[in-house]
Amino acid sequence: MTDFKLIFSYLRSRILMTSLTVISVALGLALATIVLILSTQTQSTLNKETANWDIVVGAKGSPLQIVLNSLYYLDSPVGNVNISVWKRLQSDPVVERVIPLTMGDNYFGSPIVGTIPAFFDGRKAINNDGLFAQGKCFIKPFEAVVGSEVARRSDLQIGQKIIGAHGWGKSDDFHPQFPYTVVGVLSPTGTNIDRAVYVDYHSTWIVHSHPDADEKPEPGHDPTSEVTSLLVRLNQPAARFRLIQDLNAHQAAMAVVPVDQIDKVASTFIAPLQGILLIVAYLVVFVSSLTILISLYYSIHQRRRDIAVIRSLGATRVDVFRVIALEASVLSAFGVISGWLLGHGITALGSSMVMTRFGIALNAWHFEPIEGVVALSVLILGVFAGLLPAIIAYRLSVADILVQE
Amino acid sequence: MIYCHDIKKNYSIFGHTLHWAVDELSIKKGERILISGPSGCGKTTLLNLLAGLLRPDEGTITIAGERIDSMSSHDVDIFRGHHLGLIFQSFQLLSTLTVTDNLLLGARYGRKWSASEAHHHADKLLTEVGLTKRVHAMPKLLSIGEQQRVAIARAVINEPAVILADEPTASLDKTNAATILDMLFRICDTHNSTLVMVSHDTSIASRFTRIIDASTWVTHEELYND
Repeated sequence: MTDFKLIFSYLRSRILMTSLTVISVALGLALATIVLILSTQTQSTLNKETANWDIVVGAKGSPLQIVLNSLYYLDSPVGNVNISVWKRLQSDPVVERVIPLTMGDNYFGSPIVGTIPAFFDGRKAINNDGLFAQGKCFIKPFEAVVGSEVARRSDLQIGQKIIGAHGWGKSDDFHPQFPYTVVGVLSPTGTNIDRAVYVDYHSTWIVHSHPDADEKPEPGHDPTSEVTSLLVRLNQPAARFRLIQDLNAHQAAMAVVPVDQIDKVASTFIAPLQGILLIVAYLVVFVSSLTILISLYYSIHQRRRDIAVIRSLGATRVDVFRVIALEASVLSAFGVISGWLLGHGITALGSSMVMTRFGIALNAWHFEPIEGVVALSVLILGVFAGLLPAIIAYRLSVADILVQE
Repeated sequence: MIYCHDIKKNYSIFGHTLHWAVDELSIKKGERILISGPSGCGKTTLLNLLAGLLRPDEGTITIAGERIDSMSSHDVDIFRGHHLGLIFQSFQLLSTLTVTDNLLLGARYGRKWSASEAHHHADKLLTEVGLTKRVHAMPKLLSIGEQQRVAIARAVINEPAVILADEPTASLDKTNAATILDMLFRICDTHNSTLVMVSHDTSIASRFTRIIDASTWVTHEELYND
């Protein structure tokens, strides 16, 4: 007979109260876990992409929209940039590389991004395997490389033909006369790249300048002279502000520092939201701890006779205190384990939706150190909640109870 | 084995303060003592004092050579687990534990046996009290007689030097009461335990080596002066 056997016999005997208590702790911790996973992994994914580029150049408009569109495909393009800007950047000695992006079509909601093969340079798959799971990069127009999520969702294979549709979001405005051939399938990267289709940028020029194109170019407007945006990496990061000032002052374009925009989003949107959700989660956990206290408090009153009997058998006050405190710890530990599993389980279930909608790959079973801190806090709170009932049990007068009963 | 000297205990009941005292009480090892007397004369008080569940206001209580009245609460609890076995009128089994686990709980706080030894003793005792087929049963599924047999087995699992029984047959019919008494005496004989039993039933007096009439103890009461 161990303390745990005794404790489990009591927990079993009031299974409904035990379950409700565990569930309430679990819900609080699950909420906290989900918030922590989402915030830390979202931040990490956003940072991963911003770290690749020093400057993003797009049409004049919203700087945040340029970044969200060009790096994360989360917003529609602001407009277009003349290729003279591209040429200008290519000839600038402080520029290490400049990648053009052309957008405007989609494949069943996934953006079709026109670019150059150098776009993939330096990128790694999530498991450090080769970036290309199958096939190779496009080398000519109307060859396509599909991200892992697009390939998975549409079950795309090498050699398969795909038809794009006009517009940023999903639409029925297909371009059947311009099919793409899948020549490469990317490995999962855990970034927005997984949910896009990449083609040679000439392809998008051809599609949108063809006489049969649905969207007729405005008079004097030549689609082959524009790109949607430019991703710029510098070999002298210190030259960034000089270049930005120069571009913004003299070109019909806007240059922005992506990391600044993402930090702004993080500080004005993600962090406060995370804070509010964490406060809610901690309140739920606090209330759950009160549930443990109330549950054990009433349990002690119902078990006065049992406690007296155990004492009459030779248990010391410390033995009784330990059993009640352990019972609170067990309830709390069950809640913590269930909450952790629930939080990660819900994240695993929702990760596909998050990937599809936001291009953020959530590693649902990855353990963030902060989760350990939160779980430990909940555990300690639960143990503290058991102290009052344990003290009451400690102070019970055995003789009085046995005589009364 | 048990020696009480000039013990006094004051307690309150129904607005009265009772002053209870026993000048001298000496019980030898292996004796079977029946304590009888009218309600309120302090029979259960004596058992609680001997069990260390109450402390005397004055006087000394020595059991197995140790002064339990001056021990710390912790030491009294340990002493009780080691040396004393308590049997109650209402059995006091833990309803959430099986028959075997109730016995193992007694063994746990007796702190005498290893886990395997405790299991061995529990099995042996349940055989002795004829409950081998009920080892996994929950107490509420047992008859009253069976419940008291479990309570007796639990009280003696640590082979206590002294068994303190507070009206153990009061809840039983005559047949069951006789069976339980037989069992209790047999177990006391086996382990050479001293038995101190409280009972109103004087018809069983002949089975004991000595009868103590509790009505001779000095008890007087006074009203509260609020």
